[in-house]
Amino acid sequence: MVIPMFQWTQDYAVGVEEIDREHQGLFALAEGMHQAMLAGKGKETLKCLLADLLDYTDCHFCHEERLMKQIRYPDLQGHRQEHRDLRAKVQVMQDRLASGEITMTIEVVQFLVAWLKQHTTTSDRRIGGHLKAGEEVRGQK
Amino acid sequence: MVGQFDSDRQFLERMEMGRQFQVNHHDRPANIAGGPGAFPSLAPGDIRRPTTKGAVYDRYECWAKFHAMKRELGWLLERTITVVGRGHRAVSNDCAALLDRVITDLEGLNRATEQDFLTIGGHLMGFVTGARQLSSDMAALEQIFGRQDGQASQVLSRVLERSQQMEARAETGDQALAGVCDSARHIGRTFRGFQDTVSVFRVLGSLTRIETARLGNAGEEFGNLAEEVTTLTKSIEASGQGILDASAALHQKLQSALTKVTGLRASELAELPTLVGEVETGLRSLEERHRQAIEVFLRQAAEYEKVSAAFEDLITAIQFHDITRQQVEHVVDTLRRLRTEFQGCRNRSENLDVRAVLALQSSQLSNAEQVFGASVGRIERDLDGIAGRVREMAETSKTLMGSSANEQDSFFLQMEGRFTAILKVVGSCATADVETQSVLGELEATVKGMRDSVAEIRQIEIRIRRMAINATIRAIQIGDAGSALNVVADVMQRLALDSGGITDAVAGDLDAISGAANRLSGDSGWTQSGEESETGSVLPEMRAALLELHSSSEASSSRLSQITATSARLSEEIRSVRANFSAATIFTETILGACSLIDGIGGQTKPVVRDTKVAAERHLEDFASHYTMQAERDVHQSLATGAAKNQAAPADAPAEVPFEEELGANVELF
Repeated sequence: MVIPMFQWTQDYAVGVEEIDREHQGLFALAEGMHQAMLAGKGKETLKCLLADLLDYTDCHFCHEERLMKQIRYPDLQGHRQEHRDLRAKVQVMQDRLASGEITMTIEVVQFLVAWLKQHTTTSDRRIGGHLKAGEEVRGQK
Repeated sequence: MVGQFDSDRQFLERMEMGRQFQVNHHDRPANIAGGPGAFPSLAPGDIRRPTTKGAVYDRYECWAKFHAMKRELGWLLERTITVVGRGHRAVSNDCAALLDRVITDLEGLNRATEQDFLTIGGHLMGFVTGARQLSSDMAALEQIFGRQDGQASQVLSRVLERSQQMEARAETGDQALAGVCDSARHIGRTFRGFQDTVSVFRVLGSLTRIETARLGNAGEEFGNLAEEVTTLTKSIEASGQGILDASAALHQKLQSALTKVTGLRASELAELPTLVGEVETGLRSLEERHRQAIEVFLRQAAEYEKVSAAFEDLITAIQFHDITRQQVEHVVDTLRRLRTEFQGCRNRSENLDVRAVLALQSSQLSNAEQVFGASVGRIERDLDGIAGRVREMAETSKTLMGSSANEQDSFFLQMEGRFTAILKVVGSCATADVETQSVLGELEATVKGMRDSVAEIRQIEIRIRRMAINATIRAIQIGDAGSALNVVADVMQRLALDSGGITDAVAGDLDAISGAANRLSGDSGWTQSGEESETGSVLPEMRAALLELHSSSEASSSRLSQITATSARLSEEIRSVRANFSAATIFTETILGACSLIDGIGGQTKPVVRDTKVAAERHLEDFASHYTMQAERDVHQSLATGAAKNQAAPADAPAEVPFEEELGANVELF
């Protein structure tokens, strides 16, 4: 039995089921890359990972931003900017890959995991907090 | 069960039967299921004996033995309590209430400690899996390090060697291209002078035509001369212009190639030795890490053995909990029956010493507390030991990774950056090489075209000189009238000779260019060289080797990350379980409280009268012969021989937990 290295746990829970489920998908992408790297096959997987990452974040960020609009999240712009920054960074990585630079697997996986952990435990959690606070207020009324 | 016996004699006979059963069972365990009829409490079909020996068979034996003895113990307890009841009518209802409290406390204690141990047991498999994962990761990492041992430095040596060759080649190529450039420029200058010669030829053609016309019939034979001079002049002009254009284009291309090679030398190629040096330093560091890793692996393999042994100890220690649990359960059973008797205040015999029974229960509890305390101490020590060892593994792995507080600075990330930079330089060299080869190919074609033009001009020069000689002869034949033409023919001949000098110079320049081009394409380069040219290009081979080195690096990095994370997680989980493991304190407090209460109750009961003392002792002995566990028998024996419960082990001295083989007849193990 192999213990996963990058596994979504309750420590990363935002409190919104849909978002948590999508975060699990992002962690699974990182874990897939990690497993490929363990076998020394990271370079073969890199192209797929970056493509999947862009696809997945397209969908996930869209959901998050829609939710933020619905709940009138005050830092929508700041959060959206974080999403744009990630996409830009992934895009740059894709360009580097297309230009023949394939030796960046360690950088990619470290960046992705650091971003995921940081983003889910701070920025995304604030959304969950805001949502919960709103529900409590409505409940009191 | 009570009431099944018509007399005390029958009761005692039954007890004897039970004792005999126990003795027989210990001597010949296989007999137990051989005759259920010989042991009336076991109904036929209650248990089914396994047909083959082994773990299931042994478990069956244990089960059968335990349940038979449990029934026996039940009878004995009931009978004992009946007798106790007869002898101690004076015990108050307060005692019953106190016993209630003790029973509740002890039952609660068993539930609480059971929960604690179940928690540990529940985590145990996870801990063992984590430890196995660590061991497997370390073995995999050692394999990776073993594979890349020496291979990396070999690859980098080749890269460095090639980079030095490329540097040298770039230097000579740079010089050669500069020489070719000069020759091309010289050709251009030379042919710009040639245009003057062509102009003079054109003038001479006109003069020839004028003189021919002036001579009239006498000049008929010069008629074609003017036409031919004009035609040849145009041919020379066209060829010369072709050479001039080719020379200009050649110069431009060479200048471009020269700039690229110079640029390559000045930038990336110049940086390559530094990069390779850095990677070599990194690899030396990696080798050092490898050396450390082997030491660590050896140490950690030993540690892993200790961790495994600690897990074994942990399991044994957890099993001891089951013994003490049973011990407490038996005490509770006894106390519950005593309590029933107190409440009922029925006829009690005077021939059983209630005080002694209670003292025995108190001793059993004290013994359970000591065993439990020792086994909990062992569990705590084992958990601390395992947590400490895996934490050390995490720290060592972190050191091997060269991780700083900021993970972005990790050793492997730096190595990856250097691999990328080297591959980039190798790629640039390959591009420059391809471009240079392309320029050299074009150069060859251009030089060939220029040589053709020069050859054409030379042919024209020969024809002009021949015509000039013929014209001179004809002019001499005409006499004074032909003197002007004679001069024209003479100038024409000299001009053709001058033109020959120019074409010779251009041919010399072209030879120089060809020589330089041959030297450039003949040099051993990155894309082709000596023996490697037969097996394929050097660059792709080197690129593949560098990529393999990177793959190895990424696998090492991931494996070490995994070891670090698993160790840290395992250590943290063990620490958390350990922190929540409060069984020892609760157990000690509850048992001490229970003992105190039991002793208090015992103090309130009447001592047995002298006449009934022997019978009471006999009953106690019979009672003792039906314990289910060796620990209980030991306590009883100790009490019977007069050792006080507190003298069995000093309170502050850690009690030794018996080894597994000392579990004896403790049959209900985890």
